Amino acid sequence: MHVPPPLCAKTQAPVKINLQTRRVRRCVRAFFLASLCLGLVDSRAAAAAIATPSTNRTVLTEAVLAEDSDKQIELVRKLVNAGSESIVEQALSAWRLGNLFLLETNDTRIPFLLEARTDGEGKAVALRLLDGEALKDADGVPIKFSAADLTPVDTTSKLRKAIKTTLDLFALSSPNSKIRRDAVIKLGQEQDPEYLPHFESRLQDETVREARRALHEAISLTLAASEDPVVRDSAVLRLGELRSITSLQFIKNLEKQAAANPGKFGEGTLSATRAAAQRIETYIAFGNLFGTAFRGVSLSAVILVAALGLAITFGLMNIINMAHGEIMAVGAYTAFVVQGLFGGGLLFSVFGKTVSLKGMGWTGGWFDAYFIVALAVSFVTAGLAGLALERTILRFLYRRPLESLLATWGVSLILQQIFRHTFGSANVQVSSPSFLSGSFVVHDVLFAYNRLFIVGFALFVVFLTWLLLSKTSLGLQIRAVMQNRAMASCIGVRTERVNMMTFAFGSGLAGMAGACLSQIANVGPSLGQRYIIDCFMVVVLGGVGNLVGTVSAAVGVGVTDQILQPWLGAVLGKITVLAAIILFLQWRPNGLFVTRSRSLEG
Amino acid sequence: MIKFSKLELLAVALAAFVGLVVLPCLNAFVPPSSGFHVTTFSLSLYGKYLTYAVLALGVNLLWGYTGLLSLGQCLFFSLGGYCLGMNMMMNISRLGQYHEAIPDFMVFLEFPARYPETGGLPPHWMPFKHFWFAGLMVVLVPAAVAALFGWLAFRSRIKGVYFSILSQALTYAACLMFFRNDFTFGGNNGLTDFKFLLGTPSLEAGEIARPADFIAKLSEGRDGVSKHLWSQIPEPSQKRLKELADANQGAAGEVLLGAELNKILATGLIYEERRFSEVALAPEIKRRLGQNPRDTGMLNLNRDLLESAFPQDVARKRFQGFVVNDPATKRALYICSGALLLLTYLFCRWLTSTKFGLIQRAVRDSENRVLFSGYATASFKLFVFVTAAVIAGLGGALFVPQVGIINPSEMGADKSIEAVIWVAVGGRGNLLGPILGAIGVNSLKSYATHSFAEQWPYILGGLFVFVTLFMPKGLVGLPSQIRAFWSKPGSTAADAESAAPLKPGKTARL
Repeated sequence: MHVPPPLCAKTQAPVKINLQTRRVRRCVRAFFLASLCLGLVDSRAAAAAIATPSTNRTVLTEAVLAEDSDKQIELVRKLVNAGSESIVEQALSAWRLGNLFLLETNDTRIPFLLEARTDGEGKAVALRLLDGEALKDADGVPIKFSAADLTPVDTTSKLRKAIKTTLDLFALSSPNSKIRRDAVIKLGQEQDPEYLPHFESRLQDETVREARRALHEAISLTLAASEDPVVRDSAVLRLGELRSITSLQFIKNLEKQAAANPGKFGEGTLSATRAAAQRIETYIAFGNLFGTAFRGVSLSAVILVAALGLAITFGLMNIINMAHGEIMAVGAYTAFVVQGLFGGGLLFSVFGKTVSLKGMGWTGGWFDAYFIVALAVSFVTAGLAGLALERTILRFLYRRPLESLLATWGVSLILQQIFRHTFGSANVQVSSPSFLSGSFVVHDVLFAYNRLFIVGFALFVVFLTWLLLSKTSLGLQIRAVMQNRAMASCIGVRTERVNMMTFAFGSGLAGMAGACLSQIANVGPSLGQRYIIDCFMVVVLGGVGNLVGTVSAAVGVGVTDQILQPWLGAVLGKITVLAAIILFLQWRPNGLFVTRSRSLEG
Repeated sequence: MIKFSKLELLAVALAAFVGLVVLPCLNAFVPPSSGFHVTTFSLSLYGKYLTYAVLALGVNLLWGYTGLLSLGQCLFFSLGGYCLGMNMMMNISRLGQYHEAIPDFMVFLEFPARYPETGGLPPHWMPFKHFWFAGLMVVLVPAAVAALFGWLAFRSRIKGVYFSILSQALTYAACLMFFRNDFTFGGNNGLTDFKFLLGTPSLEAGEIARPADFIAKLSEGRDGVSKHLWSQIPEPSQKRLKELADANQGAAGEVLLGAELNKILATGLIYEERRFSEVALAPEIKRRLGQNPRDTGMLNLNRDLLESAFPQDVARKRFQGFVVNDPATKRALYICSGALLLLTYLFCRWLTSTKFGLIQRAVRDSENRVLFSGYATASFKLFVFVTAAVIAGLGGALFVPQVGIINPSEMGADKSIEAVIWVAVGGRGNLLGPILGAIGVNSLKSYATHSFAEQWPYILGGLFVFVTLFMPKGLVGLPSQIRAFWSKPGSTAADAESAAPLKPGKTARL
């Protein structure tokens, strides 16, 4: 049973007051804590407890009844390895917080806890600590008490501290390795030599690597606070070897003290702290480097996925589609709708009328599959949207690129407002499927699954596009039209059809990008606007109609942005990237990679 | 000289007469009860449209005549606005929320800690105290930015869609920059809460004659006014002023005394009958006292009272700046906007009718041919770009006092594209179209956002699509388009395209 810290109980208490009848605060708090400590025990659990009266319970009872506080402390310490039995933890917490009571008759003293359930008068059944059985009066009816009427068992501050230590150390033997690890790190920070033997004994049984590492760190960190220079220095060096990021602050402080007070600490400490700090800092720098690189690559992947469709249509038709971002948003909203259909349904409005769609109500793996379906569906919906845009508007504007820019901007305004009217101006919630949430850590660098997925997805999309362009007949025609439209038309390529197909494909890619973005960004009417300028920059920087150019431009923009951000902040970093692109174009006016042709552009 | 056709001359003269004379007169001399009265609010709104029309003329010069679609003209418009706005911020003179010598946002953002040596004012703000400097900057800043960007762009022969996208990126970057509080231009609130234009009633340097004597006079407190003023000055300052006066350091004393007196003048009316019993007040001042003015009016009156009380010590300030919210100022600003539009029109008319204009259009229609004929097209384009930026900057400078605020959203990418659509709606490649378009679309916008705000994006977006598809020559070209439609029955949108001879060589890209 998990025992929340008292602060939590305090903050929740007023709510309880409203729920319960009017009672004094103290009483309510006691009741509430007791209820937490007893973990809302039901009778079955109590019965199970009766079946196996444990030695731990005996020790506990003995500890409570012991006259001498030193004896009590000793007994409490004995319980360190009893953490797996929840009653011990409950009872100790209750004791520490004054919720353990004593029934004193002439010759016996029986420690007991109150059951969580109370009757109408706020009274609860008393459970004996020794065996968990209810106390009964002569007629065999369970005796009930109100916590407010009882006096808790006395504790001294020393005893409370010992109880706390024991409680803390329980976490060390938790079956969950992550909880163990966190507890070790927390206890290590306290640098209390009292914990050392526990760490050592734990280390012998520990098999999980992360937890072992944490134990080593905790031991060294505790030893590093030692007064003995030899122990201290070797512990500090060991921390350096362990590359313990958590202890860097302590080491730096120690270094400062050692530098200020060489007489007390000695040369050895100074050099040891310096070496250790340097080692850790180098490690952190490397970690940051890799972290930045990963973030840069994942940002690049996002931009790449978003810009690829734009680059293809721009290369083919020399048209910048200002509504590209909104086509992405179409994909993102498609993901939202598919999610709703798989899950609990969704509401939206069409022409002011609210439409409610019933979902399949799936959960778990079936629901998670929505994302895969959504990727495919968003390709189709966005592709169709692109097709419609091309057929109704853009095909009349092929020879007027500047005007097509304006027309598509108009389309983007209209689409944004349609999103607003259909799905509301607030962001909609697209949940991550379970296989995309979470992350893993390698050498203190965090790799989030959704980011990794996007990187993989970007590679997949680039591969798909490459396949289309170089292995299919449509691809051949696209390349022919890109290089020389008139000549391609002369030899029988239906350029109009190629335009149409390419535009639909490019829009489909944008749609998939949008569905992908729904995992890492907010899905709202202005989703498209956020990435569009970056996309344009990638297209301008990458050069026309060249996959390699687009990929390298995307990586360049993404990584540069992430490298600059820690120094300059998000905004200045972005501005610097923009300025850098303008300057770069001085050197290569047509972008990174240019398809050579003999025609004179413009 | 510009050669006008009779019709054009008549139209321009008529429009100028109505716009510059009739409307202001209807505002000033016709009583509000009359149906012909033009409210000051409407006049200010029209003034705003006129500055937009100026901006549109600049866009047209670029797009309609040179074939450069800049999606960043609002950057220059806002830069002009910011320059004048800075001057007006300096004129607020302690009438802000915090009653400090520096603009409110600087107090709020704790600039005094950042620039302690100037009392919180960033050094580059200092010269904007002078109107002449701000006026110069209204022209120079947009010109410089345009020259730098244009030089970089045209030099490397960036054109067409590339130029559009890069100009959009430029304005986007600038917008992000101005949104930053650190950039010292007010962050996302921008500059606002203007009080005076061109001058200020506050005491400025050199307006206290013989500061040492004046300090002595005040501290002795022989008359009621002196006693009152001196009692309002906090003790440390009193002490310091006395020291300075004793040491005969007039200049330093004047700065401190000026600051303290300005604070007193801005906090409340200094008049009280008993206090001013020995002072002879002009009947005009007495009349204004009866109105119990506030804010700007109070400051003006305080200044006059101070001058009357100490005629020898405080200089008589004939011009205390125009009160921005005064109807007369609004009217004057409107007239200035109209005049600016007329001048810009005439300038564009002149420029496009010269040989330069001919080359401009040649660049638009086939830049390569012009280049191969031996013209440095980059320089031509640069000149036009800078000119358009200056025009936009001037428009922006008149826009700001009429609207009363300038903030970074004004230079957002969407605003610039909107400016382009005005030109497209009106008809580019001629000078009447952009003016019509700017006024027309903005009137529609005011009406639509007021009556059915939700539908406005549809209307605007539809306008973008419709105009580019079906009205390539805009409103101005509509008659000829209709004529062509009737003479060739059965023609469709594709023919409407051919009715647009903007790209004469309608050949495919070879």
